[in-house]
Amino acid sequence: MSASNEAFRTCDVTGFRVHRPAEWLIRVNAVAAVVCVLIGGIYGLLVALTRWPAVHLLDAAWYYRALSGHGLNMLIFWIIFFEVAGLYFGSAVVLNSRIAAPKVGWLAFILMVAGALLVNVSILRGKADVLMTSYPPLKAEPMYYLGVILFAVGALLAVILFFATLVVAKREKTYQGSVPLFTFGLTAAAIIAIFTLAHGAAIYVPTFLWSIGLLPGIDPAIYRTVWWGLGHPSQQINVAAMISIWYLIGTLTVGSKPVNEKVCRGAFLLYILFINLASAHHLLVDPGVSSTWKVWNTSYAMYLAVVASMIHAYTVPAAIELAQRRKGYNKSLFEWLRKAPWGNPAVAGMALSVFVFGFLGGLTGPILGTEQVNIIAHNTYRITGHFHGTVVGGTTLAFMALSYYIVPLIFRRQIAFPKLANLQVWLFGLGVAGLSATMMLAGSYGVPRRHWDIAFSGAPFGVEVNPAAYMWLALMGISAIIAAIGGALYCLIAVVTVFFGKRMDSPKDLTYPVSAPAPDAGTGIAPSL
Amino acid sequence: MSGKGNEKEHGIETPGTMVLVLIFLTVFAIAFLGNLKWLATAWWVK
Repeated sequence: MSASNEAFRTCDVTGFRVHRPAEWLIRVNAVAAVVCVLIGGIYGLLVALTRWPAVHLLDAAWYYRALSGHGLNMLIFWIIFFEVAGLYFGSAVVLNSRIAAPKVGWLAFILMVAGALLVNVSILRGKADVLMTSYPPLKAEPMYYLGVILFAVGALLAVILFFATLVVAKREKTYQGSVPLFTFGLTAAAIIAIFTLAHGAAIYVPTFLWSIGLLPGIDPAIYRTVWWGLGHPSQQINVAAMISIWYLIGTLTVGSKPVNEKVCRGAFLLYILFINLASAHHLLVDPGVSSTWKVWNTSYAMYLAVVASMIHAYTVPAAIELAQRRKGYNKSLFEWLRKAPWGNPAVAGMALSVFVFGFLGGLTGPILGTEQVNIIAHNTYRITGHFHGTVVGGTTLAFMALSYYIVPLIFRRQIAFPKLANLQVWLFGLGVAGLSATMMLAGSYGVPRRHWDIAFSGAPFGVEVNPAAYMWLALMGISAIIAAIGGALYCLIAVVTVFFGKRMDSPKDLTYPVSAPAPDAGTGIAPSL
Repeated sequence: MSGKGNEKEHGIETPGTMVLVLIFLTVFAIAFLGNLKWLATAWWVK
């Protein structure tokens, strides 16, 4: 059953037929994402100002509460709400299709909002100071686990709706040839999401039953093994989505086209096949699993996933270089880079995202995932520095960069404070780069992750930490403040644009132009261009 | 973004990216070996 024409509008910028129910679902999920990044960002600043020993802002109880809230809101709620908006955009909008079942989309949204609310209330009540991993025997109140389960069920429904929309688009022939690379990458993310959420159900449902007294206990070793089948692949959903966004931003801003579609798609396939095994690197010091299992998963399977990232590390900038050279920027090695549209925050945000993800987050991942190094680095602040490079400097910044296109195209509003938008991505990108690097440097001196007070003040025994670590922690605090200002500006710009921004009447009103395809670079994202 | 890419192109059309990737690989190698320096020490001792 196809939707009536009244249910669609034609985008005057991209030429896409936009299904209005899909547009509304994208809007509400995007707004929920911004609310979560604001809450998670406030928690994050409080955490950073506590880990800065000279400030040491919160007491121990509130520190662990804020750390739990920071992890859940940033790593789960903000990112998954944004990804769900991206899944609907990449299926219904990019494929010119109707969304398969809008009511399911709304049910998914309601479940996700209810889940996020329950978790946040539970944390604020002080009944879930269990940090994001919630390792047993730490136990939260049942409402916390119920919130996580509701959110996960909602996210699963959204992923199923994405696949259903792909089927509808194929059956109703709303596009020609293969799906675009952006949609293909999101499909990889969605497949990873399915088995990630299956792990989540396998561990959170019994943990919930334990919390209400129906199960006598949860084996901590089994919990950790299964939980990391959720914990790490969920970050790989982000990586697949982030890389899809890098390709999309290249197309939107400089008219680029992948240098080789088959290679790019093959790299996404490697993620699907190997990334779940790579989550074994979280268990390298765990006595519950054998050395053979650890070595196989982290020295073979993990490197096949890393190969995929290395392929994208070449193909993403190469596509941009090729497009720029075809526009005539051929002088010297780097004229194409110098003459990129740096005044566009999507370009600056993507470039910083590629740099921070590659040099700080990506590069350190295989190093920390090597068993010999992991013995030294496990549970130090080096790990926290690594994943702030990947999921904050990489994923979150890429999502922010794409917002400067998605918000005008979907909300039909001009971006508020465009000059501030450019400053925003630089502040956030450089702040997070500093945050990630200083966390890793402090961790290399043995500073533990998560800990409220590395000096163990008041304890009956003394712990000596190299004084250099205190300097890195101070610089970490300063970097966190810079990143928090960048994050706050993002929320301000998003809220003012969505609710008070000037309405767009024609493509000329678009704050940042959509680039025409580079010469001889194919048709680009929008055939009408 | 849709359909086929530029599969038929040949030669190094993206020298700048090649240099960036080489820089990345060099930093990667130094960082990795730096972390494994105790292994290297053990090897030299032997």
